[in-house]
Formats: sequence, structure tokens, C-alpha cells
Amino acid sequence: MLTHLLVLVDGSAPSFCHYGHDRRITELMPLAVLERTVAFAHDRRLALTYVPGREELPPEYRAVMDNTAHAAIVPAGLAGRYPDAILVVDADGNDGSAGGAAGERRQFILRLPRHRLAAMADLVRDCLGRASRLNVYLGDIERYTAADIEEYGRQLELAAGYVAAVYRQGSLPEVNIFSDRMLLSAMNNCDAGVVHLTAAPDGKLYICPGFYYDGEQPAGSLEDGITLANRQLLTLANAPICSCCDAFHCKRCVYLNNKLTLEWNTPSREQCVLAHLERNAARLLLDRLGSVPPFSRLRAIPAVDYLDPFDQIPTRRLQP
Amino acid sequence: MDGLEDLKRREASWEEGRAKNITFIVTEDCQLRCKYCYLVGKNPGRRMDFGVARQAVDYLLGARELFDDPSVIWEFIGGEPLMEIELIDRISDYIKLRMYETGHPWFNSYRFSLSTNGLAYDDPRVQRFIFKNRTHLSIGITIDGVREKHDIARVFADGRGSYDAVVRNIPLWLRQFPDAATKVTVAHDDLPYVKESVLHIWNLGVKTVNINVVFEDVWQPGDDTLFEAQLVGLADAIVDGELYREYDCSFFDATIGQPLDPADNQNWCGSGKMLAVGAKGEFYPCVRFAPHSMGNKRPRAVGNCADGVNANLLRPFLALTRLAQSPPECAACEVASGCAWCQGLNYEAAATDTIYQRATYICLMHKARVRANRYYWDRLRRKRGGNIC
Ligand code: SF4
Ligand code: SF4
Ligand code: SF4
Repeated sequence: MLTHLLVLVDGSAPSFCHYGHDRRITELMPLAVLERTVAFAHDRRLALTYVPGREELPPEYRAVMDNTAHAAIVPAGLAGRYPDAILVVDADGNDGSAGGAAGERRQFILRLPRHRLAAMADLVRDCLGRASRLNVYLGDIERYTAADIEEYGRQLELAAGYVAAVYRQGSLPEVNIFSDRMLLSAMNNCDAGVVHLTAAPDGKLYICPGFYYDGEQPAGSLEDGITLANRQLLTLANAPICSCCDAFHCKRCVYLNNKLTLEWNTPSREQCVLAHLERNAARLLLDRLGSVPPFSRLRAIPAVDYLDPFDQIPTRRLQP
Repeated sequence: MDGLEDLKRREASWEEGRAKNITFIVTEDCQLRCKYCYLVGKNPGRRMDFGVARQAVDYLLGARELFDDPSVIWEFIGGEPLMEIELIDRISDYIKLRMYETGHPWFNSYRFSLSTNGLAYDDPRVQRFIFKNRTHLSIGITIDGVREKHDIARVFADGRGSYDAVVRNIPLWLRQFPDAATKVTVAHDDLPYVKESVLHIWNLGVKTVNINVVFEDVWQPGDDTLFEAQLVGLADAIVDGELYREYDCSFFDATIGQPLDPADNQNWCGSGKMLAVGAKGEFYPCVRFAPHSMGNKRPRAVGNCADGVNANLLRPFLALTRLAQSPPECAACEVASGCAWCQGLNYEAAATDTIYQRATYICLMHKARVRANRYYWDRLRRKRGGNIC
């Protein structure tokens, strides 16, 4: 059921997820569209999450936004102006901010472009001390090579070491790539297009921001509501590979699916392998923390001998 | 010369259906303009270049880890493939040579296959090709039934029917391939001729008729009733004349018309398990996804002979299940078994660019077929005292 609406208030806002874009010039949603978006969400009882860009928004925008309960995802440099927002860390270090007031723990998103992959563990370590929760999302997965995937495995191992040390000290920030799989016992995916939609500056609705940036067909509009056909293909029940998978934390990113396999319900090999490297890293981390509460109470993650659930589907093996 | 063990091995592997089917789209041109043909973009311009075919063969024989099926069927398709018989001959020679030179296991387990409209069957170049490859070749000629039916749909560009031009080649074909089968397609206009067409083809000496109704959105109210009446009439003719002893028509199948268990979740269509090589060297999951087959959607290539198979693009095809693409009515259908679909049409008819939306235009026609099957098997059982095998 649709419960959330993401609002791209500024199309040049940095990506907070797997999708990417190269828009640098402010692309504000017209104020009238913003107002209609808020009304649309209100009529349908959708929770609002605003995504502003790096530039300060005009006061009339803030007035409309602040009029309703909402969450926000903002560049870490704007931490002070959005006290409760989730902060997006610039992996290149261009946000000029440590994010949030000293001593205050915030939720962070670390979006890692491919060229910063080798810095992942260090960036995770730097965030851990000030995060109540850290979500790490890889960018450019569509360009990943076998060497990148190997590097990710190494970075996960290093980062797991930092996370283990923090947990042993009694601090328990959640880190999506490790703790989500430890805590979940069923699929908990992004569910773009099912649970949430994105309102873009053009006044149209999209499955997620990535579909807007890639010029894909809208999923509807503020006037007509959701017009997206075949929405059932965004659900787990109609995703044959994911239905046989226990990487419960995986985003099951339909944006990447669409980009790499041309189908919303079919993940690429890269996505599956990366998610399984995380799953396996979470398994080892949980083993390491076996006697540390609350980890001692969590169910062990079983070992599996594959990295791509597709290979488990009989007669469909494709890769060497 | 093949020994008995070789022959046994080869036959066994065809029978088990474990052969990889690789189709070369040698031309997008055809002499005919069949009305039900899904190849909407026929054109004389796009024909395969031998260099493209050679590159594809080299890749396909080299990528043994991807193509590890025990046997292979090298198929040539068009348009009308026999319009390019010299090219086919050259490609076939190259395939044989390279399978031999590379010590490929397929050298001991291969077949060439062609499906033709039959117009050029007696052409000396075609006959030379047949003679040369006779131990590894199957050829199907499409004859749609009685003249009226055949000529309704299978017409030349100027509108003339092609019946006479095809039928004159049937005796030669049957001498060369006595067990040959033909493939018949039924669309709206030729429904009144179904019964007599099947009987006519049997009369011509073709004992196996593989027949299906088109999957496209062509059916009109009342077509199912007419279809059922045709099949019931055919059933009577088969049972009364004991034709079942010698002849086969795929419309009658004892396994259809049952509910399907959710565990019985296989995809019907073989697209993606086979590979079609386009005129320019693109790989398609089947010919139905090539540009000349696509009316309103982008073609869906899954690689090309220079870069190889793109495993990600092929994944959706290999992961397809019955239930992931079927609407709720089909999942709950009491007569679902044997109700077929074509992935290419599904894609073309889908509301979005997906292969995961099953088109069900044939729903009423399948149900009519199921009713006629019940009639047929019941009559046969009664005639044979409970034994239908
Ligand atoms: S589909 Fe979901 S996980 Fe993927 S980029 Fe969009 S919001 Fe992120
Ligand atoms: S790992 Fe692959 S199969 Fe599993 S949920 Fe993620 S995308 Fe789906
Ligand atoms: S198309 Fe009709 S007959 Fe076929 S499975 Fe679906 S509901 Fe049943």
C-alpha cells in the first residue's frame, strides 16, 4: 500500500540512493507544484519526505513545507538548517560539514560513487561516531567490474572491523549493510512504486527519483494520480528470483533492475552478488559478536554457498 | 559413417529435448505476405552477411561454458530462409568445419533445421543442400490446409494465394522426409476450414499436423463456438474413421484442460533458452524479439556476436515463471493446463515494456479446445472400451 511520498523539491539535490544524475544547476519545483504536491499527499494520507538541494530554499518554500509534518533528506552541509533531517554525506568530501552539532547523533546516508569505493571503510568509520543510523548506498553499480566487486568485499571486511569495535564499546548505531540483515527475518526492500512514489519538479509522479532522472515514463501525475500499469511487477510476489532469496536487507532496487535487465522484477547479477557479500559480511560480524548483547540474542544467519540466487534456480544457470 | 551407438546417442538426446536451439535470421524478406504473420517489418534490405554468421558461429562455439547443452539444432529462419539457400549452405559448411576443427562435442550431435513456405523447395540449389546434409537435416513446409484456407492467409504480395505453388512440392518433400510434420496456424478468417484442412493435410500424406490458434488479439464474439464445432466435427471424423491409428493432430491432447498446481510454475515459451542471431549479428531470445517482428515496441537484444551474450539482459527470460506473468484469473483457472502463450506477443501487447504480462486473447479459444477435447477423448474411450492409449 502506498504510504509515502518523496518530494524532489530541487532536481539538483544530490542522490541519496543507488540512482545517479549529473544535474548541478538548481532545478526548483515550482511553488504551485509544491503546494499541489502537499495537497495530493494530504488527501491520500501519505507521509511526506522532502529532498531539497544544496541551495537555501526561498522562505515561501519552507513555509509550505513546514506547514505539514514531514521528514527530509538533505546534504550534510545543511545539517544546521534541517535539525531532524537525514544527512547525505558527500563521499568526495565537498559538503564542508561534519553534519550536525557536536555530540548529537543523526541519521546519515553515505552514497558512494564507484570512484570512491576504495574509501568506503574509512568513510564508514568516520560516520560511525556521529550516526544513530548509517545507510550506505553504492552508486554506479551498472558500471561495476569483477574487480570492483572484489574491492567491495574487501571494504566490507574492513568496515565490519570498525563496526565490531564500536559495538563492543557499547555504542549501537545501525549500519544498513550489516545490522539490517541481522535484525530482519523477512524481506524489507525499498518497495519503490509500491510503498512510496516520488513527486518530481515537473509535477509528475515517478517510481523513484532515478526514473525521473533517466527520463523514464512517469507513474502518474498530481492531477490523475497513479496511472502506472503493471504495478504488481514491483512487488516481491512477482519477482521470481528475489522470492527465493534471503538477503532480507537488500534494497531490491527496481531502478537498477530496470536499467540492467530491462525488467522491474529482475535483479542484475551485480546487485545480487553485492547484496550477498553484505549478507555474508553480516553473518561473519554476527558470529564475531556472538557473546556481546544484544547480538547474542539474534538468530544466526545461515551460510550459503552462492552469491547469486539466480544460480539456484534449476536449469537457469547462465554464468560459468 | 555413424555407428549404431552414435545414432542411438544422437536420437536419445533429441528426444530428451536437451538440444540448444540456435536460429540464424538469414533474411527479413519473404515472397509471401501471410495475413497472420508476426513479422510485420519484412524487408528485402536486411539479410545476413556471411561475415556476421562466421563471427556468431565462432563466438557460440567458443563460449562452451555458456552453451554446454549436449546437442544443438542450428536453425535457419527468415523471412523465408530458402531465399538465401546459398548463404545457408555456406554457413552450414562453416559450422561443420569449425565444430570438427575445434573438437566441439556438438560435432557428434547436431542437426540443421529449416521451416519454409515451400515455394522454392524444388530449386536445384535447395535440393543440393538437402542431399548434402540429409543425415542431419529436418525441413518443415507450411501448408495451411485446404486451398480456401491456405489462400485466405498465405498470399503473395499481389494478393494471389500460394496453395498450388506449395502443394506441388509436397510429394517430393515427403519422399525425402517421410515423417515430416507441418505447422498450421488458425486465425479468425479461416476458422470454418479447420476440420477439412486437417483432414486434407493428412490426405496429402503428412501424418502429423501441429496446429495452433494465433495468440494475437484477433478473436471475435462467436469464434469460440465456431472453433469448438469444427473440432467436434474433426473429432467425429477421426473416431469414426479410426484415423487416430495413423494420424496426429496437436489440437487433441489428453493433458490439457486441468487446473495447474502452483508448484507447476514453468514458463511455457522457450524464448531465452534458445538464441536467435539477427541479420546484423545481434542476439535475440527468439526471432519474435527481432526488429522485423516488433510492431510497437523496441526490439529486445540480449547481446551480439562481437560482445557476446549479456547475461543480465537474458536473466528475465530465464527467470520467467508461469505465475509471475499470469493474471489472477489464469492462476485460479480450472482449465489452465495446455493454455499457451508467446513471450514475444506478451511483450508486444503488454501495457509496459515487460515480458511479464501474459496476453490472454486466446482464453475463450482455449476453453473451446478443452471442451472439444473432452468430447473427443470421451468418444474415443467409449469406442475403445476405456483404453485411449
Ligand atoms: S528503486 Fe529504491 S533503492 Fe533503487 S534507487 Fe530508487 S529509491 Fe533507491
Ligand atoms: S540479492 Fe538479488 S535476489 Fe536477493 S533480494 Fe536482492 S536483488 Fe533480489
Ligand atoms: S487465458 Fe483463460 S483459459 Fe488460459 S489459463 Fe488464463 S483463464 Fe485459463
